Amino acid sequence: MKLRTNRKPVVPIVTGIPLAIIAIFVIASRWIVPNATRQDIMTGVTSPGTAGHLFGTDQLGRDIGQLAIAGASSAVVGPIVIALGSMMIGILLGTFAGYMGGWLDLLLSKYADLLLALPTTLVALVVTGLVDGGYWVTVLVLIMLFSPTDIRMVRGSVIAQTSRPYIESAKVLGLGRLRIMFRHILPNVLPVAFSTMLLNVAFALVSMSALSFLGLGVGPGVPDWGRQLSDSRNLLDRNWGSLVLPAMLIIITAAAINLLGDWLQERYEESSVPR
Amino acid sequence: MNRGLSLNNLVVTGPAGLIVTRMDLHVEPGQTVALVGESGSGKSMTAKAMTGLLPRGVTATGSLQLDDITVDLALGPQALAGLRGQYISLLLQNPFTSLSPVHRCGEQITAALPPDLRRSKEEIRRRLDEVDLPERVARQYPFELSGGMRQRVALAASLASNPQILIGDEPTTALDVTTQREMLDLLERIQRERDMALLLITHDLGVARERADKILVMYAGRLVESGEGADVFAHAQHPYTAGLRDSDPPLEHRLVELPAIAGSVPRPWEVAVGCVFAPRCDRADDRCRNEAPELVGTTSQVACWKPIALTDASHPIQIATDVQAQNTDNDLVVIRGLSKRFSSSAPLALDNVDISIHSGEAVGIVGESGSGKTTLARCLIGLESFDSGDISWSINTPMAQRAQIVFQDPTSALNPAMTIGATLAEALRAGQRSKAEVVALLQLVGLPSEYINRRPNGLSGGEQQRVAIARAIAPRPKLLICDEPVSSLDVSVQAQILNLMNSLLKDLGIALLFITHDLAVVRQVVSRVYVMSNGRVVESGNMENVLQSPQHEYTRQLFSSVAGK
Amino acid sequence: MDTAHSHRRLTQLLSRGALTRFIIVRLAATGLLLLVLSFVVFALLHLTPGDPARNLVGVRNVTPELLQSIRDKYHLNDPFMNQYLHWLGNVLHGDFGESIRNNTTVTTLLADRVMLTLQLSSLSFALTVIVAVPLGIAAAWRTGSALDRSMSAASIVGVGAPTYAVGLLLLYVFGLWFNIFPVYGSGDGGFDRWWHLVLPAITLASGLAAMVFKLTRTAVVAELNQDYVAFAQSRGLTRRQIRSLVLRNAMIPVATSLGLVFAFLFGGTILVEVTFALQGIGSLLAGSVTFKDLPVVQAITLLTATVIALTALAVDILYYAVDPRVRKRGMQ
Ligand SMILES: Nc1ncnc2c1ncn2[C@@H]1O[C@H](COP(=O)(O)OP(=O)(O)O)[C@@H](O)[C@H]1O
Ligand code: SF4
Ligand SMILES: [Mg+2]
Repeated sequence: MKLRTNRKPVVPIVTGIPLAIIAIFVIASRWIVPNATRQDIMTGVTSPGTAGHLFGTDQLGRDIGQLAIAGASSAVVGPIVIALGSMMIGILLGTFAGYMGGWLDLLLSKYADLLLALPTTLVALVVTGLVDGGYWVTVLVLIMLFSPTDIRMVRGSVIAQTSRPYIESAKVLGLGRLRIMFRHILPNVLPVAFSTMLLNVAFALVSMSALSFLGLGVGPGVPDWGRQLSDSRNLLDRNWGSLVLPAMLIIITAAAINLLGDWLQERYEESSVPR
Repeated sequence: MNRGLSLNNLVVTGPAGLIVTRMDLHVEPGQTVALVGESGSGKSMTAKAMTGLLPRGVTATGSLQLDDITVDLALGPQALAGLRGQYISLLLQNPFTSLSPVHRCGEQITAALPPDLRRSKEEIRRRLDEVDLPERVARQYPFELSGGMRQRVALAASLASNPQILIGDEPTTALDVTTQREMLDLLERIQRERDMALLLITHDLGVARERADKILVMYAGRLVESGEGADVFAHAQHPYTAGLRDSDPPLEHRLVELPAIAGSVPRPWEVAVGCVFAPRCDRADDRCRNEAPELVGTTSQVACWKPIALTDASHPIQIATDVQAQNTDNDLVVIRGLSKRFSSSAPLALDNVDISIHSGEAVGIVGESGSGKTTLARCLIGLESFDSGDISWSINTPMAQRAQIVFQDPTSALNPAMTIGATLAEALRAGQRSKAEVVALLQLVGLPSEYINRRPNGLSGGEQQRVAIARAIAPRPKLLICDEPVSSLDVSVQAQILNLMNSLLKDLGIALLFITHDLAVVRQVVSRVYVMSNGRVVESGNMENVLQSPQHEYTRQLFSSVAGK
Repeated sequence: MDTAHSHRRLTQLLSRGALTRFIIVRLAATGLLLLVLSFVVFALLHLTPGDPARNLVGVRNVTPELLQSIRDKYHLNDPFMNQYLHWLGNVLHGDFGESIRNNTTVTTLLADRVMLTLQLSSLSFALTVIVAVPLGIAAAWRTGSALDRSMSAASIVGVGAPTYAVGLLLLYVFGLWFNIFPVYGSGDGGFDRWWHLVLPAITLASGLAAMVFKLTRTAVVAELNQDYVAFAQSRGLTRRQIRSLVLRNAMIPVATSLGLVFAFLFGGTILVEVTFALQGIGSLLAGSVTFKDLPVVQAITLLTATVIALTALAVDILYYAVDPRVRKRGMQ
């Protein structure tokens, strides 16, 4: 039995601050750094601390700091859409598969098996690379790649709920299947789904930036953390800021989201322990 | 010299506050001391404190005395490490989890022996023999054995280092009634042979009464009464002990109403001042509410300002005559030749079962776990399909208004995401009744109307079960099926629920199918009973007749194992 | 004695037969999965936008004759199923066709590269296991201790941190700043090769180790909370005995998750090889994808899937060996 102690909400505070700052970047970057992509070939590469460029500039003379602020939206928006989209698929298909079983369940589990037989990075690389898609095609591909795990997760929790007496009582009351699935089971699955979704945002962020690191996903010239890191490989000896800033931004954002997701999950597990 | 074990002034503190308050106990070699009380009263915590196995965040003070050794419990669990096994050993409730699933039984039994004896075939055989197990068990894994056999393996393991005192924390609770009796007999025999002290922790008053030399009664972390054997109950001085005794349903007769204790057991740390039992005690006065009584007395001790004197007339107990079975004209539902097999390799779960239930009649089904009771109920209500046979109803209403069901576990009976009001409103709608009846429904099951907006998580087990019953009667079904509805409740709460059921039956005129493993419980509710064993109905008839002259061998066995506890 | 002995012998034989049956069934399932995957992989050729023949020509001058010869060589005018069967037949003989980018067969190209990827993966896998499993056990044994809390925090960062970002940071700090490790390239065989692999392996292992640490810790904590541990303590078993009891039980989920980790390992090598400019299978795949060198992409994808499927099979067999409950179920 776990002890419930009155812990202070350290995690939401520690993770909330960086996440809030990133959120501001995403929403307001066009006003904060309207000239992020302005090139200045004359300046070229400068190291951190150069006047007016806290983190220096890249070989096109773009300011690393401004570029990173502008890059927040391509780093974060796609992953959020991916996590939401794949969880929507997960909830819809997972609930039906878990509650009704049958051929749908079989088909979905085979589909998941197939996709899980290969590393996500590899499939994402091959598919997005071969179809020449832009940012949103990559998002779509990742939704497809993320959905099997979400379907499995939802299906598992739905099955766990289905054998509970309160669901059996609902059946005995003669309630319709849809009502049982979406009014009775779903609200009890949502907390887990939500924390899984957060973890997926972090994972998608890493996957998307990895793809743009490999030169896929975002178009050329669009500010993006993964692209910045990829570029930084040629600047390492002249401007370490080009590496450290985007790298830290990705690591901190991913870690904060992961931490929050883990925390929510643990809290939920604790509260569902019977008194 | 072996003078047994004494526990002095034990105090256990958890993160929320006191769990056990100033507890003393003494066990002599060869003696059985029973520690009884409802769940959460601190029995297990006492056992864990005595063995240094308290969970993280829980600490103990006090001392433990064994022979010439005195251990200060405040020194932490390590202080007791040297005593475990050779002096004191603990047998746990659940034989399914107390053994490692991936180690063979023989290995687990001998693990505590000196290394040179661990592999000795002779030694293992001797150990298995002591607990009446065949030699082959040594090579088997726990999952290959039945619950009773596993608990024997666990017993052999806990005896490996020949402890002077064995603590059994509900060692038979997870077992079937008949197996329970065998296990208790075995414990008694071994205890006698080894002249070992036994501290038997149980919530089952019958077990304590039959097996213990001395009984201690705990309530909300306090010792409230102790005394010699069965006397503690027969001449209960503490109102709680008396209440507990009275609310335990008797097998011998049916009571008009079980004397229940109102309310539910408080958490030990929620009691600030005064007597712990005051909120539920009908003798309580101002002193009781402000000043905590000390445990006083010599041979028998009691912590109460106004103990019940021997001369006090106890409540006159009203005995009801068992309701006679009604004539068979008005069958509500008739089950004929019902059979069901879950998989081709499994034995029949239901084997040609015939059962009928008349309108407005209370019928019981008794049998051990695995005898097919629940499967029968689930087939009847449509949650399970069956292979052959038929179920014919004499009414033509939608299923929801024919039968409803209440399950055993109240904690998962209600949707945690819905308020009580929403749950009941939905059930009313399912029976085409008005949502406005929710309040009346709550009143009917004895809950205040404020509960409409509460969620199941904030309710006690008994309250949750009341809501589950309310939901089941909401569509006004003609038959209410209850599958072990009181088995996970404390005795005092169990009595409340049984009384509620009886009054509902009378008021609503509905039929009841009551499923249980407990003969005494079913006696209080039904007029006719079916006894099931291995998927078959082996005996049926009037409750009274079946109890007085059981015809079938299995019924006799069931009966004697209850009576002889 | 005699009967007991023959009884034992019989059960042994029986369970051995059961194991064979178990392996055959799992092998068949693995084969089927790979067959379906091979079909999907082959279909990539036709799913890629553009004329397959033109895609296969690459940057060479497109002449009608060349196109025709490609069509003939790859049987592109045959019905789809025939094309597939033809391709599959070749694949089963180890022939994945010719690389478009380099003028060699895919097989030679892979043969040149596969060693490095194997070395990198095994080095980082070994690092992961050696570091993360003992740490996970130690943290679980002292839940709430400073060690546990700091390692758990580190693992959250580690799980989320992208491989290539970690790699670049390590490269900067140890390669450029302190100048301890070589920065780019695969070295010239022997010790130099392993020396070049140290940073990449650490990079790859950091994420994996975080994951394995979490899994191990969770598994051991779950076991420590089991009744059998309290029961063992109450009987006076020594700490050592209890540890072996717990570890034997925790080993089952840990071993399974190590198998899972393998799949992640193969995804991770792509990024690490690109980051450190290593000439392995992963960087070959990344390059081939950008270049649309389809035969190479198909070969690597299928190869990876095979390795992962065989690992999964091995894990299942291991599971069978260490968990008597699974053995029992397998026999029925
Ligand atoms: N691990 C724990 N930490 C804190 N409190 C606990 C823990 N386990 C049980 N308790 C509390 O201690 C009290 C006594 O529990 P327990 O000894 O298990 O009672 P019993 O064995 O009589 O049913 C209960 O109120 C229970 O909630
Ligand atoms: S002290 Fe008072 S309240 Fe407590 S049990 Fe005795 S009479 Fe009841
Ligand atoms: Mg207990």
